[in-house]
Amino acid sequence: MRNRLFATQLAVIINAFIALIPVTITVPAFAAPITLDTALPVARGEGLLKIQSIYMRSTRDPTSMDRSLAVWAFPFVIGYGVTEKLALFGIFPILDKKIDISTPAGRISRGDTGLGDSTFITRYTAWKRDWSAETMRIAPFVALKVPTGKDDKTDGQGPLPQPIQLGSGSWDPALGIVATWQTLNRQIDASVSYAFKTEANDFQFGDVARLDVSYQHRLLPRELGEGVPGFVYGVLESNLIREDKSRVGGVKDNDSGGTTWYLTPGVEYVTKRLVVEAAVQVPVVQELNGNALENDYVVILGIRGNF
Amino acid sequence: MLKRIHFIQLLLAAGIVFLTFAQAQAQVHTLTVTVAGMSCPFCAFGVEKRLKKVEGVGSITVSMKDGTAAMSARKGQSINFSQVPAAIRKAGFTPGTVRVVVSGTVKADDKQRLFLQFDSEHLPLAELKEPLREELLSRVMSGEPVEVRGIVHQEMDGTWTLLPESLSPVPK
Repeated sequence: MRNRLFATQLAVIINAFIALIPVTITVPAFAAPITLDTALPVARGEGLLKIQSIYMRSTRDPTSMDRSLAVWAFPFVIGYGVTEKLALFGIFPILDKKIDISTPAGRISRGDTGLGDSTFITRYTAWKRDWSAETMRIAPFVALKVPTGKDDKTDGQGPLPQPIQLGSGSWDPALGIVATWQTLNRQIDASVSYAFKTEANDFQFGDVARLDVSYQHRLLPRELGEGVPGFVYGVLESNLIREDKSRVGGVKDNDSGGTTWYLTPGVEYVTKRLVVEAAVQVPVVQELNGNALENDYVVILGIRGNF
Repeated sequence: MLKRIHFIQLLLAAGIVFLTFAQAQAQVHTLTVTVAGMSCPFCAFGVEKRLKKVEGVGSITVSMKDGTAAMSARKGQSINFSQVPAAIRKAGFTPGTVRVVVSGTVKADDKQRLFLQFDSEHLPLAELKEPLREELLSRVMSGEPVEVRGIVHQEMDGTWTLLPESLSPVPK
């Protein structure tokens, strides 16, 4: 009985601070911004391949349980321009989730590694205006997260709590809109999105609303020469994320969800065929519900190419 | 009799050489198109990729600073300029002015409208002003091939016209 009660408490605690992980890893960028999408075009018949390495760490535990969370995510993103306006993307993340927690029986570690849930996105450029060396575009998008990740992993403690599983088991649609203004010197992207979470395995993540803004400023070369030189951009992004409470067995988990505002400084090197990027997401505001564990930081490294 | 046959053979050979030379010279050598909206290196790739599919295009040089893509024809081929705007649009951008260097023969129809004949195309010459028109008329009389620099433009009815900016003899 005591063990069962402990397992329930543990599951609730884990739920509380795992809940924001999918938010971070299922909304990768496809072009110039690092943590959000862009409305820039993918040419008809052009393909994109992007690989990111995302490390998220959370250790600031207000309780005596000394909780520690580390998540590695390697999302592989494939994009294809069906037409000059319609682009399709598939995101296939490899995940490594690990949580350490102090219990009366000692320090325990739980987690799993493998393919997570995949996301498919359709983006359509609904409006554009081009000028000389300047463009402005607006593109709505719809997404569907499909349960390709394993969601029934068990260890010595029993079945892993749902948020520790690689997959949620649920089919989650999302929609949003992104606007981009780009010149040779700078670029601004702004995106609003909403993800509807559905129930699976008696668990339901809270819906997620996001407001993302990215500013990129060309640092090098200062003067443009002939041809297509590589650009070095300084990047500053803002991610405002609001997540509803999760539901366990239909009951709201008061230690889940909340609002987080990240500021994300970064740098990008952009050539004709390749983009290399690095950024750190720093949580500036974390208004999380209950005893949820706060994020320390998220490190993002990425490389993308076109073919 | 034998000398006469040799002479005819010589004439035929000369004719073939002349026709081959004229054919090789009669083409769109280079083309430069402005690409509105192209403002990052990553975007330039899509433009290049689509332009490489245009018939006759050999090399492409994109200039971010000028917002242009300059193309040279493959050896012995002519760039199909009419495919260029669609290629830019397929890359997701907006095509602007298309400037060409084209060599051909200036001809006139029975209404004294001028056009440039090259390959199998008859490209009407439009917006002609003096002294360019006078110079073109003299080329009609002489029948000499000429190299024209100008802007190709698609009319509302879909036909293409050439707005000549300058003329020069075909380089030998």
